[in-house]
Amino acid sequence: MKRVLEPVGYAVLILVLGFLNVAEGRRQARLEQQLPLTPKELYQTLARAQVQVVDVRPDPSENYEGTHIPGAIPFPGCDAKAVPEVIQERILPSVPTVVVSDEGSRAEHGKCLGYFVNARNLAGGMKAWSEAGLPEDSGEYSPPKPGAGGGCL
Amino acid sequence: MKKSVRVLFVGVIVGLLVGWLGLRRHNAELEQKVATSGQGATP
Repeated sequence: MKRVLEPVGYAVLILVLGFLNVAEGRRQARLEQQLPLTPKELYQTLARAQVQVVDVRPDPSENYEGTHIPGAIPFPGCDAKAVPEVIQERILPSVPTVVVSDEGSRAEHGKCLGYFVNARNLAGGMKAWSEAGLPEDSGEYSPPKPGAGGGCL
Repeated sequence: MKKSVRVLFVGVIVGLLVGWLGLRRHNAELEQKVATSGQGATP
């Protein structure tokens, strides 16, 4: 009897611990999503990982076209109806996303949580990015052309 | 049960246990960071 029980006991223990690890991993992902990124962290992240940056500031013709993070996609208020189809196609809900608002508003970030699977907030928003002296771009959004390769900061 | 199989099982269990405790500790730190950053739970 003991011969049978011993491996079963080990297997059950492994299953339980495996489940606990998965649960803790999910909790980690949820917590990380709530942590805002600093402008410097975002800059470093853009250099080594694939994230999309969405600029949720209202009135893109004034805010976005005035200045924005290079590669950011204008997505005012995280409202898919408010952007043209060409931009809608570029915004992928399943890709890790960083939300850029005027001053890193928690409310603006909150609006995007229903749209993106994983959306983090840029602490201090565009204001903090500019104050940090990080690269900025201006002008209308133009989707990257096929085969053009990745952009760089 | 062969000794080598038992050692393997125990090794896996210890590995999972250490991983789980490490994650728990990391998550506790993250929770503290979230609380201090003022983000808190999603609205």
